[in-house]
Amino acid sequence: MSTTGSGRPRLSLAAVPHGGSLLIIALLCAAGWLVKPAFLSPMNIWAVLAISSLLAVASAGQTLVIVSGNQGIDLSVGSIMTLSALIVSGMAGSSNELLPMALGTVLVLGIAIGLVNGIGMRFLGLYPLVVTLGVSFVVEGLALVYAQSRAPQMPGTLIENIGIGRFLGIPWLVVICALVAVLMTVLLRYTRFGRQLYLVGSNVRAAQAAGVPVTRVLLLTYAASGALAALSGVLLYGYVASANLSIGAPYTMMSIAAAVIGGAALSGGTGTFIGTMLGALIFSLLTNLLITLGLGPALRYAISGLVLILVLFATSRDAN
Amino acid sequence: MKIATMLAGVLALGLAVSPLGLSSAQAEGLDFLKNVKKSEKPYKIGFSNGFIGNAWRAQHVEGVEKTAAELKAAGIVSDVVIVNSTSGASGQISQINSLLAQGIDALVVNPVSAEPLMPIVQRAIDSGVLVVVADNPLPMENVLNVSLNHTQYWGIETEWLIDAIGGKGNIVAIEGLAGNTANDWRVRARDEVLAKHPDVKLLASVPGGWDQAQAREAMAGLLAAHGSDINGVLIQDVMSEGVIRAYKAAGAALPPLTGDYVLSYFKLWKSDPDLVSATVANPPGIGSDSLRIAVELLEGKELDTSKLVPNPLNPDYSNTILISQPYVVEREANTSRSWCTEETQCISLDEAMAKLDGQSDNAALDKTLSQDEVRARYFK
Repeated sequence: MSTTGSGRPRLSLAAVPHGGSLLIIALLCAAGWLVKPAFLSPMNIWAVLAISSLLAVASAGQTLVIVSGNQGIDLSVGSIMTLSALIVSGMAGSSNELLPMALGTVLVLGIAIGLVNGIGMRFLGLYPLVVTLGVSFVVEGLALVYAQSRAPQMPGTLIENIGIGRFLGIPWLVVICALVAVLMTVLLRYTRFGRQLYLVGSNVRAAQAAGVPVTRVLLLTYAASGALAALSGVLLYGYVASANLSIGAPYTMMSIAAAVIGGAALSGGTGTFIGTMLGALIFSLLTNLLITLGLGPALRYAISGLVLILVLFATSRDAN
Repeated sequence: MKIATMLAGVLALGLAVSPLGLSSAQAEGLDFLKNVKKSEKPYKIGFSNGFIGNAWRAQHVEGVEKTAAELKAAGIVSDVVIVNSTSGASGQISQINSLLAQGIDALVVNPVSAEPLMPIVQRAIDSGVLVVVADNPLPMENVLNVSLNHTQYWGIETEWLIDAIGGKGNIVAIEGLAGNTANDWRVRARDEVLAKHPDVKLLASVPGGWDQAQAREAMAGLLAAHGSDINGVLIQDVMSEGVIRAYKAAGAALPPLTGDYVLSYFKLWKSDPDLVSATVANPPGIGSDSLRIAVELLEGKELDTSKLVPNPLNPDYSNTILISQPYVVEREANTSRSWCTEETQCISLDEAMAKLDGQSDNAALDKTLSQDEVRARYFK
């Protein structure tokens, strides 16, 4: 992969796993530190890690779907997050006792919505882009009906703690993200499902010929994406301590961006969760840096767009 | 969706170029009154809401529903058809199209954004419908805008914050959505107040998109950049709880900050005796107020033109009614403040909570004017 026959030996970032992302993270940190040394204070590092953990978990399901290939993309992530936050808020409210039931409900619901996505793309032959967009509208509608029948409430101490509490000095969001990272990495690397997923993503016909249960793999993938989106909705509710109908909306596009920056190819078959986590971290560092620089909104939008294109150029350009 | 937008746009444009050319109202000098005409009671009114997605908007629509029921019972209106767009400007355009097809006497519209909505609103006017624009104004001459007074909203909050930090020091600000009409209007008001206080320095002003998560992230960044140099935080609605969470997560002490006007914030404020805060309510009841103003106009009541102010988006047109922000809330009511008036009451935290008693945590402190109040304030 690193030898391209151009003769001149190059110091290649591709030799280091996630070299491109790590380099950009180092550059962003250095730039932040130069502007304000407090950029690298423990307080700010934890704040950035907490928000990027939230984004990373929200992008976990998206990573699976993108790896599964076949134009795989999940545009329902944001609306599932919204629905999940609203339901946990409405069902459990400030009570900790009701929380397990609310969590169970949103996870089952997330899986069900994910299955609908999977069935739509696999059995109805619809593009994932179309079916997940359609489903996201339905989910938004459900969220609206739910919010009208049951107003969101302030969270209980458990949820409150997820958002601002720490475990052994580490914010809970970061701890949860680390757990998800272990699970995702084991799933992708060491299980039969993981191997089959990469096969299906790279070449669905070859996978089929090799006896991979393609339908089962795809349905599981979309169901897992739904469940992970539901989980991240709960985390988001903890992060802000209130829920509304547009709370999850930004996460659909950000989850795709984090996965792609992290090296998942939109054509499927490649991508890791560690990569996605680094992608999420780049996102959060960039936002934090631009705020530290104190730039006006217009300049901030333009710069973050440009930097993201540069980042993509460095991390996920197709090697051809 | 794109095709639908284009089709709707083309349709709207095509129909907009055939004006009916009524000129009777020009004599009165108020362009938007030309469609106040002989339609007989009971009136049929359309209410088009551009966005439904947060508690404020839900309350906005609820207020319209209640007032509609009251006006119906009184035999003044036959029906108020309420439509909410969930698909942005294109959805709102097609909904207004169908409202016009149903035959309405007046359209009350809260536009999702100005530019894309102007052709369809022009079409409504050309087809003889009175148009009242609620909340987010349109830069058009022949509509009546009914807006909340955003100069008051952030002007008062800025003055309060400056006073709370002792007249000098450093503040940071969390804005709403950059480029949004209300946000930019508020920012201008803030800057005017700040210009009068050279000892107060605005270290940074960042957008939080009226979103708790974004506000928390932004505040975390501001804390990293400025830390304990920050003496006060100026925050627009919805986002104060996110800012407070950023401080809590960082383990830093809270400086004086401007708050939100929903019950959950009031509860939080009440529970923390050290929290120095104040808030100006930006009431969702503006929807109901606009409906009532439309009814008064249809009834042929004469507008008190001295109450009209220049259009916030185009000062050449004098066609806007500014509804005063109804409440300024401080922990203890301070009625000696320069901004306290009959229309803008200075109340205490307890009074504000009492007004929201029994409502859900996300209910906003609201004020809807009665038909008599509307008549007394804005009509001769």
